[in-house]
Amino acid sequence: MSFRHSSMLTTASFALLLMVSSVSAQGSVDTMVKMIDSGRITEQRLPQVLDMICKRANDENLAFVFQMAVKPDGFPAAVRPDALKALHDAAISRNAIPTGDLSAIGELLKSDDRNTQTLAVELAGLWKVEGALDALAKLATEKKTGAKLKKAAVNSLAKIGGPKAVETLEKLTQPSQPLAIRYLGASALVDVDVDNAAKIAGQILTGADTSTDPAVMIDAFLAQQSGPTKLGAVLAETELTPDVAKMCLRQMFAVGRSDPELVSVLSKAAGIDDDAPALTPDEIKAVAAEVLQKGDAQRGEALFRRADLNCFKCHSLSGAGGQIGPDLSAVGGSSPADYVVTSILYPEQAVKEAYTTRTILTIDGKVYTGIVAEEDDDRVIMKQASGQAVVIPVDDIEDEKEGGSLMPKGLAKFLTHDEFLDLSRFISELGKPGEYKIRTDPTVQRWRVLTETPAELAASVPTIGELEELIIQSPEDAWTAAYAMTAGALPLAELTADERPVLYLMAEVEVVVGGKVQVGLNETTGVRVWVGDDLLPEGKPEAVELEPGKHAIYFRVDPAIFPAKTLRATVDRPADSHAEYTVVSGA
Amino acid sequence: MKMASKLFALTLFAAAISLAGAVRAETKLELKKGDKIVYIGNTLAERMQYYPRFETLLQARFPELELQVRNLGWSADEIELRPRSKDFQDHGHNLTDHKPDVILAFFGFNESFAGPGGLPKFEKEFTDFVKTTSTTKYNGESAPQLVIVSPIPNENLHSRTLPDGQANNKNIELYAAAMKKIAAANNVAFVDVYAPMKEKLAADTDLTINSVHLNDDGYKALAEVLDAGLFGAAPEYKCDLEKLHAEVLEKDLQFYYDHRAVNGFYIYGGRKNPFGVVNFPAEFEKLRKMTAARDQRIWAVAAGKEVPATIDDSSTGEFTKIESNVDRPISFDTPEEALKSFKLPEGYEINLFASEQDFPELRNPVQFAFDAKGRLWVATMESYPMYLPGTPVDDKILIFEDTNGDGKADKKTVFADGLHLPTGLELGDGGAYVAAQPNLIFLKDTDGDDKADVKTYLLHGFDSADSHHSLSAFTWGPGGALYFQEGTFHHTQIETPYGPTRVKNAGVFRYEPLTAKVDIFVSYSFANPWGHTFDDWGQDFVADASGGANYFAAAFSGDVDYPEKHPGMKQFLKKQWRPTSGCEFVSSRNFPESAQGNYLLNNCIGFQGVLQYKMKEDGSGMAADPVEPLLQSSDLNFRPVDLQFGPDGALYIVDWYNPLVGHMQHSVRDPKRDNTHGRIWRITYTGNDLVKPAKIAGESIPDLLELLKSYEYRTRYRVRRELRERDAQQVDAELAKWIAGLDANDELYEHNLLEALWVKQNLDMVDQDLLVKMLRAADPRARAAATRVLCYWRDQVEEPLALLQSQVNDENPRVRLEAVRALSFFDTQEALDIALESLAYDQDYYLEYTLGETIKTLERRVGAKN
Repeated sequence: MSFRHSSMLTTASFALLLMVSSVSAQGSVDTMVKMIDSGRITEQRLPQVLDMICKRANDENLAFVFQMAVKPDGFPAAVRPDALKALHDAAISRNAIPTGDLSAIGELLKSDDRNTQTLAVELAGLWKVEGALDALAKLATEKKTGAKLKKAAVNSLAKIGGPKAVETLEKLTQPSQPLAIRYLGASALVDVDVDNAAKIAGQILTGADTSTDPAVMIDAFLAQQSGPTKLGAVLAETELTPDVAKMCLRQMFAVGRSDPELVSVLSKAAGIDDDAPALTPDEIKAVAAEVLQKGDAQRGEALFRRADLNCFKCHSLSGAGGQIGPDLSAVGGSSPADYVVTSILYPEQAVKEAYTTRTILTIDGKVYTGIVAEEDDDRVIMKQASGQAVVIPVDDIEDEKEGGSLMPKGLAKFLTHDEFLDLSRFISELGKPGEYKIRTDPTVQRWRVLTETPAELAASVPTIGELEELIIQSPEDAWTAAYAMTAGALPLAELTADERPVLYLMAEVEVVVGGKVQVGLNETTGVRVWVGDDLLPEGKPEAVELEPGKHAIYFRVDPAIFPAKTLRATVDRPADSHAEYTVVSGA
Repeated sequence: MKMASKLFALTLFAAAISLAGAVRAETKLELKKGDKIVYIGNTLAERMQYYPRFETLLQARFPELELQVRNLGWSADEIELRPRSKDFQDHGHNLTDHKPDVILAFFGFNESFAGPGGLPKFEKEFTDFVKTTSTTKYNGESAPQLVIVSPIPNENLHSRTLPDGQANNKNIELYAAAMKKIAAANNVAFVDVYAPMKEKLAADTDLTINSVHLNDDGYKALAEVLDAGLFGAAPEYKCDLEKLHAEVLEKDLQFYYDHRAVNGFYIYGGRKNPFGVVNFPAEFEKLRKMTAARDQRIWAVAAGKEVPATIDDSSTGEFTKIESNVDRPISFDTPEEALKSFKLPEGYEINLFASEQDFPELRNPVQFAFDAKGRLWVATMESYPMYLPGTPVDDKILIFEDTNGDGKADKKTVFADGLHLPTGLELGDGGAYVAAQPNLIFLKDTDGDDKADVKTYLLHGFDSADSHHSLSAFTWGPGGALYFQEGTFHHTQIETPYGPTRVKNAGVFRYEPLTAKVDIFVSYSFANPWGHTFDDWGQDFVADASGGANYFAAAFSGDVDYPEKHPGMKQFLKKQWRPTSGCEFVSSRNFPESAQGNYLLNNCIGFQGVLQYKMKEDGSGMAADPVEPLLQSSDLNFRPVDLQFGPDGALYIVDWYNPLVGHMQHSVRDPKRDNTHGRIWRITYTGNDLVKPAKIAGESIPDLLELLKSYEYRTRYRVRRELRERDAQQVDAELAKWIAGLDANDELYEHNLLEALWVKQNLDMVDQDLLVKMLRAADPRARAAATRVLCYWRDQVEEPLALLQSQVNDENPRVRLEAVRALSFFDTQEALDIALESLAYDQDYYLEYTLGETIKTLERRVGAKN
């Protein structure tokens, strides 16, 4: 059915919509509805126009869009998920909820279409549709529910609240459940009843091991104004293993939080000294001098790469690494050691323009800290240290303040004094002439590592079919990011804790002007290279002609034969080539 | 509703007029010995520090009273709106800090743009202001005497391009009458300078620079009027008024360095720690003593006494000693050594054009431009980071010439000196536009010796909270608007004949010198944009320095109402490095074919050199991909801060050449900051001949028009600039002949026509026929460019909305984008509906972004009217 046809069916309803809209705020909504009515908007263009209508429409008009998205003679089927998405965004961005009976969402919870089903689960929570509780409880507790959908169902239950929802959520936190589900259940309970959630969290953490990261639960407590205090109070009375306490602490620092009431409890449990007094300017000068005297940049680089310090999560070196904080490749060239020391110890003191953070407290007592990516009259979009963006409706904002940094203040706690000197020295050296000067060799700095090597890929060099299926077509989350050392070498031992027989790695190159390029390797024994799906002959890789566009280069490294501890790869331009390209960097 | 308020306002006006004629007891100003007099208010007051004619008369009249005058006037201030940068209140310039005995208040002009409808609100606010200000004991003991000075009328300069002032004057009269009434009701002194100034402004001599802002003669006139209005007929003066005036000017200069200190963010604001709190307290203590010492000289000269020629500041205190925190060895390479540090792609060469070795005045060069004679003008900043109390500033504008064509400068002329932080420079209109935070000044040589002899303060109110973020990256747009930009932390407000223009936390300005219009071209949360350039078809691109972001300008240059800002927009190229400083497109037959149209971007830390990107279409916008950098240096002091193609087709690069560049990482007074180096480099391609420099200066109009067909963008750029200085009617007549003679089959035909349209825009000669022709040109790039021209002619062409409607329905996305952008400058439901028509066509990122912004602005305006 073409949309032009269906629009004729709906003309009467659109006219009705026009009549209910108020004059002043609906200036563009009326016009857009008229355009749909007149048939000027094709089905293909309809999703965007609906999105724009939902961004501005009043609740009556949203109800109309919802009805059109569910009733048999409503929008064309292909447009319906877009309509739901638009309604979803209206709820997230400005708490706008359609008027009238919303129970029709129940049908959509059973949808075969994964996308529609997930949207429906989220809408049921955002709109607080109590009639959806049973269906949500089922999705939340059933084993077969996928992780993403389960998380959405759990969150929606928490949003709707009430005894029935709490009962379901509490069930998820019981010891019979896997640790990941228990953390998820407890995190959802934080918004319903923070005291109860803290009590439950204490129980979970007491028996927890380090197999599962408690990040999701810690985040939930951090996001609630009273969360850190209440969790801290419970944990003060709880027996935690030092390793679990460290995991919790690491998560706090990773998202740039150092709430004292929780940090002190966790530090104590983790066996970390928590009460070093602030350094005076003279003491900072003395430490800076010590950095230059004793600090070892090489050891410092190893520390920078240490997982529990999370440096790469936010910062990049030579363009490779996190994009939340500034790239540090050149920082030592313009910043003296005292500045570096101050910046690590007291990150909020000197913040570059684009990295100033804002903390927002909502009327529900939620606390968000991050960098404001966008804001308008309706909502604020904030990029958090976790890398995730959160949308906060302006109407929900109780209080906000500018200033501070996303950089964790307690970083030095994970370091001995000597380690601190080494790390500071490394950062001070970045960009200075010498070993850590800015390099422009086309080395692969940002790698993708296949997280698990399938047995057939370990056994032998894959066929083109296997490569296609297991490597080229593998989902994005099958890969983990890894970053080369500043000099371009990737330490293979860091890539996996367990001894893996064979590693598969990927690099990307963005070609602007086509031409020949050549992959360079520090060692060729035990390495096979594909450019796209072309397997290059063994030995020194030959030059290949590349068209403009993004190209993947795959590497199979067999550590048993590979003679070096690190892999260093470059993408070079042969003398006769006019190719223009860059090796892809970033997070 | 509207009708009612108009009637109400008219009644008020009538009442005020009759009051003015009535005999009544007026509150008079009584001065006593040692009184502190403070001016507050808008640009009328602010400019009095540059033209202190009134204080001269005041001090000359009362030499025995030893009056201390401080001018807190601030561009575009209104009673209820006086934005300042963060923590300015901690800098010691509140009324409670100055403890005035007398306050002279200059308000009403900016407020008057709200028209009759805004009068009730103004009356309420003004009443509150008068009551509060006249009763608060700022000095802790007694309330000050408040004197309300009426606004002055606009002058009719009988200019083709400026308003005649009549419309404004109607509103000003309304507001002045209200002020008078409120002053009387509160027993506060009121001086009507409107009526007497109206008489003086009607005379032949121009008393304003732009119909609203007085020049020196204007301030002489105002001084007489104000003096007479306050104290009656002029007495017999005991002193030489010009000598006294010079002393007042010197006192005002030192006070200006204090009140309008640059780098406030590091003195009292968000970044005062850890360095500013160490050095600045002593500096400002000294500066305040120096200012007080100048009061003494004023009183002496006013009393007819002699004062020493040089001012003795020996007892004004010492500075705190600052130690460097630089912990790496610092060395300076000679230019010959530095030359070896460069790496360029095959076929390119670099040579030194000028350096501190041959030209010691070339210190900390920052921006440059080529004149019509092909000479290179460069602004230098030896006073960087800022004025040190007691050491006069001496930043310069130098003119370099290569008289023998060997690619090296062999002649230098000092065009201007004694400047303070000229962060931006552009030539045109017979002189040089120069950034002089918080002002924009125009320097002109009128006697042909290449030395500036006239200095005009054109615009005021550009914030200076961080001198790094202040006015920079000056460039002409193809249509003859001058663009410049500023960064975050800044709260800027500029007074214009069309009302105040404001922006906070960064933006790009668009200034039309002919009409005196100032728009915020882009209101966006930049960090500190230091680059802006246009391509052959008038599309422009903005480079933000600190974060290294680069933006396609059309999409985020729609209109927003202060204090709104455009939200985050995607970058048109993937950032490789930061921070950047200056951008330019390759347009030179000396450079290889493959490089033509590439986007060049200077980068100053980490990667130190010139990055290069290949441009490509991206729907309604454009995108760019990195290719091999054009230049890279391994010399850590190399700081390329501006770049531009010269008349010979070579690329010139200005090198700040400095080991220390950060404000945050070192004290601004770190002794290792350097101010003795500066270089200009020149890159050529060996595979092609140099470009023969076009003859521009003094050439005939027909010859200049022919040069608009030149391949090089920078040649056409300078030709358009030259044509601005010619007689508009003659250019128009020659243009008609030139257009008639153009070959319609030439592949550049439509580009040539576009150049003609831009020349007309440069001269503000609206040509609806040519515009309409270009709006429907065959080449979509021409249609997009013409749509931009239409945007800026919208109030001078017939049926602008109908014209935009057809552009909104254009088949080309960029034309639609320009049209949707242009519609944001309107305020009606009709304009909104036309913008929404674009929804019928395929969208892309930029179209969605721009439409969203236009809808937001127009919904707000339409809503406000309903």
